[in-house]
Amino acid sequence: MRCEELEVRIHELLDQRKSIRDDPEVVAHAAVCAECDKRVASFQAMLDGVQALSVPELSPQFDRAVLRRLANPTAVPRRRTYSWYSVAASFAVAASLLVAGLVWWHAQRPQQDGGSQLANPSKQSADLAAFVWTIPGRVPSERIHEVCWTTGRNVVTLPGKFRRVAMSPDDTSIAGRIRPVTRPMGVAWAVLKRALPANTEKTPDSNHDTGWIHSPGRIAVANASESSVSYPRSA
Amino acid sequence: MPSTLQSLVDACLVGDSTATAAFVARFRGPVFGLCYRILGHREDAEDMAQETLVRALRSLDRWDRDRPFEPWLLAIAGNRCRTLLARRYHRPKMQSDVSELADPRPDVNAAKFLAEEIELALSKVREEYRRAFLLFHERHLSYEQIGQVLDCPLGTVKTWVHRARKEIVSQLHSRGVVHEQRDAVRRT
Repeated sequence: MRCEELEVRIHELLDQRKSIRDDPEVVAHAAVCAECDKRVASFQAMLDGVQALSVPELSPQFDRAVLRRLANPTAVPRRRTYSWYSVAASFAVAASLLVAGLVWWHAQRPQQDGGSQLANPSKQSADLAAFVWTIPGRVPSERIHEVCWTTGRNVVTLPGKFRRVAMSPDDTSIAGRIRPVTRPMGVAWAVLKRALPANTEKTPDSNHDTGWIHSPGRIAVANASESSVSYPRSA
Repeated sequence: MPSTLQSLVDACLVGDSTATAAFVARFRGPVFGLCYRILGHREDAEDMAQETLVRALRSLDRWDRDRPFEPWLLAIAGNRCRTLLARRYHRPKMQSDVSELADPRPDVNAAKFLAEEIELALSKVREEYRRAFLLFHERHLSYEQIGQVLDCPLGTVKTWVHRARKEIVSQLHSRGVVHEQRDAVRRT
């Protein structure tokens, strides 16, 4: 065997999950070529190192979370069949909501036009939208809750401690559970991202926007311009 | 509790809760391991593993019993992970916490030392190569299975694994890991 053939041979052996140290051709060549002997040792070190890699432990609630997701039909949407009357009923509900929305919009419009943005933050929070944010299934059931950004009240309430917060709107662990109701989602997230880090800790294994809130409290959003965001530590 | 996989699946299909729990206990490890190796993030991997098991349990009736079960299950996991990766593609890349400095005490815990060196080397390898490499060498999936899980042709998988090996070996070589390792072996 020539030196340039050694690596090809090693790949062949590894592809077949065979030992490179037991191959007569490799052993014979490595015995007479110091450089290739080092190469063989490097491959062997790589294999030994991979076997020493570890996978983190699953959380103790894993099984329970799977069974809960399984029991909850909304966790993974299933295909549904629609009958004509259910479609008609949906249209009726949608039409009613549209009319109600138009009435509400007309009722609100004069106040918005005349008000000061900074003087009346609760009006601005309507721009931040209302959304429902459900903490994902890996959180123990007793901790599962919904975080509601209530239009008009201007506050996100986090009722407990050690809540996982994923602050990226494209995080699929929560994306399916976020329902933007009005506009613009990005503003709401930006406010949250600025508000949370003061009292959160990044998970050690990633640099994602994921954190754990370490104390109960509230996030108050003063206005939509994001100029005064605070995270009071009040319980 | 049902002893064979077929009877376990049958029991799950009729809604036997003990069998369902046994199913989860039996497959959570391989599914989570695969998700973790693809995603490189513990919590995301746990989420995708949960979703995989739920989806599998809900569609057990679609499993073709003439084919092996585990590749079918792992293909579901691969799909879930790919969907997640597609959505988070613009996130910042994962960064390794492993120090750039080589551990001066390789013989204290040689296996741990080597694992850290591999982690470090892997963090510098292209993501596709890293995934394919780990699925082959650490998860012991075949090239065909990796192709299914990552949704790419067999030849591509092979190329990725080979390139990952070359890069890792060259990094181990340049960091002097191999010599230290051999010295440690000689000393013991």
